[in-house]
Amino acid sequence: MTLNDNIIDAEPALLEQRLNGLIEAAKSGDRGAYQQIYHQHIGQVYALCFRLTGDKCNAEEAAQEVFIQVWQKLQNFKGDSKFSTWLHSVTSNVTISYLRKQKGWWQKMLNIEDSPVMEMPSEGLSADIDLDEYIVRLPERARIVFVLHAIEGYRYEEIAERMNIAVGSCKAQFHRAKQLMKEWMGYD
Amino acid sequence: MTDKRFEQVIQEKISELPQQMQPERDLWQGIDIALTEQAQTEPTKKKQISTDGNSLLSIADWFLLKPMAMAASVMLVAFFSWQTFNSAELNSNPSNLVVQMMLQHEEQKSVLLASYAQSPELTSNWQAQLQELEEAANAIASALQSDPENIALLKMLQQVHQKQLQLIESVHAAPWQTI
Repeated sequence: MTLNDNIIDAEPALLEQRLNGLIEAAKSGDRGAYQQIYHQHIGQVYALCFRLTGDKCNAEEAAQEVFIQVWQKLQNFKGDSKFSTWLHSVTSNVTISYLRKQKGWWQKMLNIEDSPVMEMPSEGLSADIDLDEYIVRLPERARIVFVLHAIEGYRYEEIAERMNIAVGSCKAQFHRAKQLMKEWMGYD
Repeated sequence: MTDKRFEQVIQEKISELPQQMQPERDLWQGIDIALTEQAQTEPTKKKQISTDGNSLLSIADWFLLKPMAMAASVMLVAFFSWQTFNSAELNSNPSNLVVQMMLQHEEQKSVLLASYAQSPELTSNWQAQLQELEEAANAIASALQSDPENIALLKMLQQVHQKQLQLIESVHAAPWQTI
């Protein structure tokens, strides 16, 4: 093993150690340390927010909401899991709740619970597919279930609990998402 | 065969998805401002609660929140009764929905304005802003007359109504916040 290999092996551990230091500092109110945590993780948080909301403006607002809530909840992070895993879980919860708040009273009352399916011409069987473009066009519920299950690896039960829907509905929404994508990609 | 190929393509594409994306604008400034505001309001709230054994909030609860809660309950009961009797008609005629949305909103707005009648206003130009939102809501309602089932317009109308209520709430400080 060369010296370079040793340095590369040690790098993740050093980064982790540095991050832990920043977390401890942020817990005691150091806003500068929290800003560094923000810069290290905004890419990961924004990507998930964007895929869940399907919209840049909403994703930006949701990402801000995530970092505001993380600052308040930071004391709850005990280091039992990786910070990125914990942050990921907070991000999905905050974004789902953000989307719920976006729906108004009438929408809830009249059960206008989902966004309409966007029209999208079939592109044929092409290898040059940008999956994110398809994801953002999915109806809201189908999109959330697809992102959390297929991309983020959550179980249906976990998603159902987060979204406050039945496990069966969750599976149906996943099936719906895949059917729509199949159609759009020209595999139908 | 196409099913299998589709599954394969989807899996490939999922594994190629970037794990990180950068927002187009710097979000930190907004976060920083929100955290500063929170830090400023939290000690004030704590101080107010601890200044009096009976708690200012409980007095405020009685004089302000209770009548508001009662008014909201009455409105809800009235609305549910109306919904029960009229749901069939409402579903069959979407333009009624717009009218009901406007009526319901007017009612909510009046209740809110009445409840804040004695509260100080934090800004002076809020009524102009409210008027602008009112005009926006009327324009959307007009558009809905010709396309009453347009979900995007309905959503827009609902959002403008919400903005109006939020504006009224945000410019009026509750008495205990100004002590």
